Amino acid sequence: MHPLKMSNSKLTIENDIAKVEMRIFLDDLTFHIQQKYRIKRADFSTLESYGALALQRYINDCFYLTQNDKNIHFKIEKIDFTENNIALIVYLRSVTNVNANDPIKAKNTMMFDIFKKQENLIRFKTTGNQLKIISHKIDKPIQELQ
Amino acid sequence: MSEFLTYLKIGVQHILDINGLDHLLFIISFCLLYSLKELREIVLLITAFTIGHSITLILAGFSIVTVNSKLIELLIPITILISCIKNFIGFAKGSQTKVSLSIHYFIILFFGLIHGLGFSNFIKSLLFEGENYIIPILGFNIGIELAQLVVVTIFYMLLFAICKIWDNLKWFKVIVNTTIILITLYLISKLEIFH
Repeated sequence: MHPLKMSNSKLTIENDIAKVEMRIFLDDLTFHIQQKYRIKRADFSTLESYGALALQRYINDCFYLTQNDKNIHFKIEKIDFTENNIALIVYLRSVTNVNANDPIKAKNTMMFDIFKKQENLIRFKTTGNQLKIISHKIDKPIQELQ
Repeated sequence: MSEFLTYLKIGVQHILDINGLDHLLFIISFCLLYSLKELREIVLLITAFTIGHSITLILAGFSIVTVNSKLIELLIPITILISCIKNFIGFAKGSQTKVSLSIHYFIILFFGLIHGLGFSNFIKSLLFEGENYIIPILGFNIGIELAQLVVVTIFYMLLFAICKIWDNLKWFKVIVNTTIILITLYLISKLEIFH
């Protein structure tokens, strides 16, 4: 197991749709998904594979936005691997609309249930086009994006 | 938090996290041959290691160099074992000669190149394509440096305290060196490449 316990996500909002590119370490995620959902081998090769389906359930629980007291969940659009196969790249798309001008909160508790030191970053460009990096930790699972 | 500080903190955590023992063990192993009186040598060695891992961290970060991550995972503990074996030879010989110190610098520089590839594999995996890599890599690298300095300082403070209560510091170093070898062998046995 490597010592870096983190994930990195890039959030963009275009035409009222939020899109996320999430990068998360494959070994940690595979191990956790297998344990949590009792899958013998978590495979992420297609969106229909057991690993990907379990990952969608996990993301529904752990990663969503909140706007005007409504939760905005995400659907996996595509799964890819980094060239060294160290990280999984998960492309997500919001299932409901997001208003880029209204306040948004983000919940990102990916892997918090197994790693106390897990840190999840979200890169986001504000409406003023300023880069903002939000860090989610176990004691700060929900953060304001703007 | 700024991007630079975010990655600086990640660099510090990467070295200081107890789950990432390999880099910690390596830093301690190469300090074992030296005493606090040889501060100049210690600083030069840390600099050599820094230069080494900075080169490969930058080259790999910009995809100029690509190396199999599993091979690097194996090479890193091997560098620790070599460093420990070299320590045993040093303990047996006694003080360092100028020639052996120069060789030591080049070995540490070379090992730094290998460790840099290890660092880059993880950090690069989390960076987005088309993003500016300079700030994250610079922040991460400086974080690693700060953490290394912390480790070395704590280690020599510990050595200083122990030499006050135990005359024979050499035996303490032998015990630490042997412990590092045993932990490293355990880490090697756990590598994915052997399973």
